[in-house]
Amino acid sequence: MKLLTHNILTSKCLKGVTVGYPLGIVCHTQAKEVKVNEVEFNPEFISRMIQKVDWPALCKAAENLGHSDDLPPAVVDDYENNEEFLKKAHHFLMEIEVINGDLICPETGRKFPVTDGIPNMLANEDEV
Amino acid sequence: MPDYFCTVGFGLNEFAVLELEALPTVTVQKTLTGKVFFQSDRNAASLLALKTVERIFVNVIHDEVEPNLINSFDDWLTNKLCSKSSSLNESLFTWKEFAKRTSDDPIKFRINARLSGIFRKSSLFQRASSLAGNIFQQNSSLVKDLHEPDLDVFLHLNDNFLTVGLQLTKKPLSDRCYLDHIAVRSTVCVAMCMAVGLSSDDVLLDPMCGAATILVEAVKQFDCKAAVGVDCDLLQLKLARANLNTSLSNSQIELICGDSRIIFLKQQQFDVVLCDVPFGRKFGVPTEIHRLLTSVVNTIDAVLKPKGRIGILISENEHQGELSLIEMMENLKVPGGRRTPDRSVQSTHSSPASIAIALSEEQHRRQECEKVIQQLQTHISTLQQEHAVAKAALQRKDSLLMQAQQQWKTVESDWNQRLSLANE
Repeated sequence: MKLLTHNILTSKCLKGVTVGYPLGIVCHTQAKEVKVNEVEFNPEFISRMIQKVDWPALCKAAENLGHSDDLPPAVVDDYENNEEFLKKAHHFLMEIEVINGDLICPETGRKFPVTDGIPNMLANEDEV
Repeated sequence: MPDYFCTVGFGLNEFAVLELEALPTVTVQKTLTGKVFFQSDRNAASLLALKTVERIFVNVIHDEVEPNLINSFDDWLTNKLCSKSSSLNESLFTWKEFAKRTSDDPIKFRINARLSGIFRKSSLFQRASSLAGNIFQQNSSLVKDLHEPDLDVFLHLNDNFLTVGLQLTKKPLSDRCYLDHIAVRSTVCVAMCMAVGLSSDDVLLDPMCGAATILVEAVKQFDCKAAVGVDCDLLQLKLARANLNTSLSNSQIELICGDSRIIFLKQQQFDVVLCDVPFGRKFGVPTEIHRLLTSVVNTIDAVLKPKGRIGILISENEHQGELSLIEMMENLKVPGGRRTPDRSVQSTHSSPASIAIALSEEQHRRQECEKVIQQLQTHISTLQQEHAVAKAALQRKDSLLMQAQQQWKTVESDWNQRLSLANE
């Protein structure tokens, strides 16, 4: 699961949850559970994605994974022409992948497991 | 310019014509159910890159069938084939260019005949094949070889037309070597992408992705850069993962296990939603179908951006469901209802042709089912064999036990006798 995907997941469907965003990420043993995949850098694509991405949520995710130092806390002005910024955004959105771990609902603490890179968002009928 | 024709899946004519007309050197001449006829220069690369057609042929003969010829069938076919021998040699020339054949060895061929309508009799089928085979061998440099032919000659006869063509590629163009598990036929996937006008800038969602064939085609053929596939079945997602691993070097497609009846994605994230709604298989009861559709359409409504596009594949025999689907889609556009000001609903089902797409897809599904049945049957027969072996072993054990018991009895009576003798 890329952080780009994490950026669009919510637990709002659960009973009693009002925002359910962003989901926390927990990985037990860092080394094995997070992978960095090299992906071709496409500045136009990343610029377009940045318009949609919830930046604070991305920062939170990076922090959960222990990488917060490398990511600027806010989207910079004129980011389309700032290659350094775009490359960082590219790295965090497209290249870091959570392989095994848990996503955690910020309100109820309900865990959604991530297995082999696939987050499992299934909920029981009595939970929704 | 040589004449060609291609065969297309049921209902895909419209898309094949669109694709052909986009090529600068092609003039489409005529379409019949399942076939499109066109002229083109010998630009192999662009023709072999067609994505919505099944097979492509150089046209040798395409003629109308005269009425009542069933009695003089042999003479009529012989005449037709002989009179076109020059056309055959011209077509062979084109075929050689496509097949990049330079050596002068004789080309091995076989006739691949399909007779339908009034001609659909096995006796006619054999006669037509052998007649055509002999005539072609006499009139050209071809040599018959049923087992390892270089060239498949397609002969199709139905109530209206006789069509003969030389197949340009050994495998159908629709075969995609990069997919291990095919859920939706590749040509249908491409047609769906075409129907919604998918571009490489679109962020794509398939809320019921199965083995993710639609998404893989979107990435491979339309250079889609970000796609998400959701399915509630982890087994299906494993197949999807296998497909992604063999077909894509970059991971443009993300998989999520989830139930698309429930919204767990942020609102307004996707430009395009493509979906092969799986009802009819899992959800047999109409009320259940309706409930499923309502919640899935709600989800799509929530996650689609304004001006987003939706493409939904449905089967012809789920007509009932389709009507309610159209209704639901239209409800999305009602002003004052929900946040849907100017979204264009461009579902593939709204054109009659694409209802037929679904039919070919259904047929494919049936083939898959038949494969599964076959596997199960072989499994059963191995089980039966094992059972028989086990049964025989048991019988042997039984008889051994019986023998042992008898032996014991004789020993016992013998012992008793000796005991009584000793007592006396």
